[in-house]
Amino acid sequence: MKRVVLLLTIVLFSGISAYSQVSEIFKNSQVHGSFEFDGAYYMPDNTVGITDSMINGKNFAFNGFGNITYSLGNFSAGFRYEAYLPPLAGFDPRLEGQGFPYLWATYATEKFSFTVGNFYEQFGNGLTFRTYQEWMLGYDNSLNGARVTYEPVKGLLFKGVYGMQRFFWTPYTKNSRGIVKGFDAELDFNQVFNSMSNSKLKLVLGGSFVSNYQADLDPLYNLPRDVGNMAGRMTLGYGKFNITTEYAYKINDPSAINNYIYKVGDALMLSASYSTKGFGFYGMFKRYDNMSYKSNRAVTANALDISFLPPNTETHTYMLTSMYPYNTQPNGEIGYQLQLNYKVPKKSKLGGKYGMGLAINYSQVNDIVRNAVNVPGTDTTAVGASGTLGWTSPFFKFGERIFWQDFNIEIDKKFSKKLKGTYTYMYQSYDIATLEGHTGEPIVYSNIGVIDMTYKFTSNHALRWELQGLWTKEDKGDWAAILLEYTISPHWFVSITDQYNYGNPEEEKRINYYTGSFGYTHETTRISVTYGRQREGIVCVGGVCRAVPASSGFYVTISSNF
Amino acid sequence: MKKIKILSILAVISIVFYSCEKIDPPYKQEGGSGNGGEAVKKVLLEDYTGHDCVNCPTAAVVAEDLKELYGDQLVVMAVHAGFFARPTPSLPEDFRTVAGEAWDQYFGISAAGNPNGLVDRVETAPGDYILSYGQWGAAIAVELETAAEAEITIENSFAQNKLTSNIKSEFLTALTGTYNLTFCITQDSIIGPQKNNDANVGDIPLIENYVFMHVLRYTNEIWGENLTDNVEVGKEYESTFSVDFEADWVPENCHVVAFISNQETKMILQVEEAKVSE
Repeated sequence: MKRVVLLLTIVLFSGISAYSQVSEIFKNSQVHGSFEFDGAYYMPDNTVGITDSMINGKNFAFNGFGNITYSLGNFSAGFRYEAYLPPLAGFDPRLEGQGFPYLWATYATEKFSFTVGNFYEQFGNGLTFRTYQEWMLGYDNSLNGARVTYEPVKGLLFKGVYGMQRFFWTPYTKNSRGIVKGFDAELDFNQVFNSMSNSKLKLVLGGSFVSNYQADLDPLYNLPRDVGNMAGRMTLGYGKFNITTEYAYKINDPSAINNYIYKVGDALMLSASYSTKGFGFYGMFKRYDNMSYKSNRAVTANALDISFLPPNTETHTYMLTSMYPYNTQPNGEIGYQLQLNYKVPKKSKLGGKYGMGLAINYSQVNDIVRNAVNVPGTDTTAVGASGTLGWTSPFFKFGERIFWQDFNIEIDKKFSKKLKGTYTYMYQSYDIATLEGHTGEPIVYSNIGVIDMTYKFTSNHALRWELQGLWTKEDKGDWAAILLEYTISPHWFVSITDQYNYGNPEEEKRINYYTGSFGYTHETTRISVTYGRQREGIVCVGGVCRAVPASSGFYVTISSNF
Repeated sequence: MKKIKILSILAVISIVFYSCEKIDPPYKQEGGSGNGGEAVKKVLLEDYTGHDCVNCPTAAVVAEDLKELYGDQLVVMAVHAGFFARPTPSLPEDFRTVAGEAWDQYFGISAAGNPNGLVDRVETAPGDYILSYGQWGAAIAVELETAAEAEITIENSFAQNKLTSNIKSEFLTALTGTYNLTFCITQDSIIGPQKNNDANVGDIPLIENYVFMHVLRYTNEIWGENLTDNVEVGKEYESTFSVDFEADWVPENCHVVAFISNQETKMILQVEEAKVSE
């Protein structure tokens, strides 16, 4: 009997102890997550040329994800569920499917961290390595493998990564894509050396090396199985001045993107900035030469990029200023950007009672100069021919072909407590032949104007309206656009937009692309419903072009996080 | 501690040097694993293309290079389908076929972009068959390593503008499932305008007199006709096709392409090609 009592007591105490441990775990655990569901119902629309046979029974499309992160002390883990059933118009059809493409676990101490599974990481500016996700573009090149970071002293950080990248839903099988390994080191002098901790001079140095192994199964070419890409970088600041630079060098990497040339690649980016109260200046120079770097040399899709080539162009968000966006040319481009910000002081002539913001931006991207090289085994020369060294190129010389020019000036002005506005003028030249694969079509020169006004009726009722115009003699001709948006914060909004291609040279294509939306927000949950049309377009990535048909119908977006 | 640091640096340097492979000329391989048509296994490369597709001539060059390498072991078929194959005022030719459009839809090729292709319609992942032209060579090499599971012989006779084709199919291994025979006609050396973006192939933006090769002209049925639901090894399955030639099909430039495929997986077991007329 005594034994039974003793046993019961042990069981009871173990139970209490286990319960208290479990409750302790629950108390210290944190779970966070975010969700987004984007649904569409497509309908035939004769005006934009959508017929029932084009929809082909696929009236519904759905993109959705749920991202959950759990953490307990030094341990964290998470997953992301994704579904594209089928993907929305404009997304790569190879995304169709659903599952858990992102699973990971991390253990991190003050000096070390270990991650297994999928992860996003970046070395420097990304010239040798960057994995990231862009939900709105359907892009994800996460590395699936292992990562270790080590920070022996504050300001000295080592990172090592090893794994294979995500390619839509295709599982990794032997030789199906490359195996990526990389190493990065960064030294922040101001943190490591006490003598520099309060110095006006700020200095960070870094270096990275990445290699991709892919078997050579190609019967036509002798291909390098290990392709290395290395870079050195520096950030130097003194007071209000700041300079950042990075140079990358990649060995021979024949691929479908560069038409199987054996040239080395290199990249240089240099940016400088100065800022003081009310005034800021930013300048950037970059040159990329044969710098596409993918973990499958044969893939041309917008996927499996190991590195990232930062753009030097301003990203525009208005309907018409974003009509002709820049698309980085990894095979070669050279360009620069200058940006000036000035805040006209309050109570000055121009500034008025509230002051005025002024931003001027200019960016230009040219082709690099490409000189012909010998075709092995012949007496002939060629530029970019497969099985050659591709081309030679003087480093700082700008090629004659201008891919892109953008001059824009933006003024924002508050007139009263209730009325404020932003005015934008933009001049753009856009080499549609190179950037969209419309070979033979002339460069699109356009003037764009945008007026964006907001009137606050009360502290939570506001009306915003935009008037936009794009004038060009090329491509689809002139456009006008309007937006009206009424917001009752913090919960409701309703808006209508219309983009009218009134100057299209083909009369039957002078179409109104209208939308009507309303939305409701409750704490972190947002729902919006839109009805309308979206323009058609052609998307070219890596020498492969696909037509994105116009679409028409209802769109619903629900998002939340906790 | 100092030793550890030195060793670490040496380890990193060794990784750097061993992780780069520099290739010296010649960059292109000489000769191939093709054996002059003696091997039984043959592979079908379908190049999905269009005359408005600016990057397709580059892919067609790759297809020709591979054809040169593998000879009779490789059968190439240029399937003009999708957005970039539509006739336009400046590109009036219409090389599209009902079957080509249906295949394009089924495999999702022009939706993913052109140029792209299929090699024996082998799935690279569930539901994914598409191969960029950079992947064709490796995929063909892998397919050619597999044993032939069937054999096809084609006998053509052409008279009074009518082709009669007698096709004998024989399975070499025991298989389960339903197998179809697809009968196609392709045509070489059609001259017409083609958009182009590769100066090493021809004029940019348009090659006025582009030579279209291996153009799919005709198919008996989209997914072929039923050959058998119950494979009998060694049995000779005989099929006969008669086709009246259209005015612009030049018999001397045409080939019959016949292939056996699994009805469910669409994968092609064997393919054969024979000239319509000598």
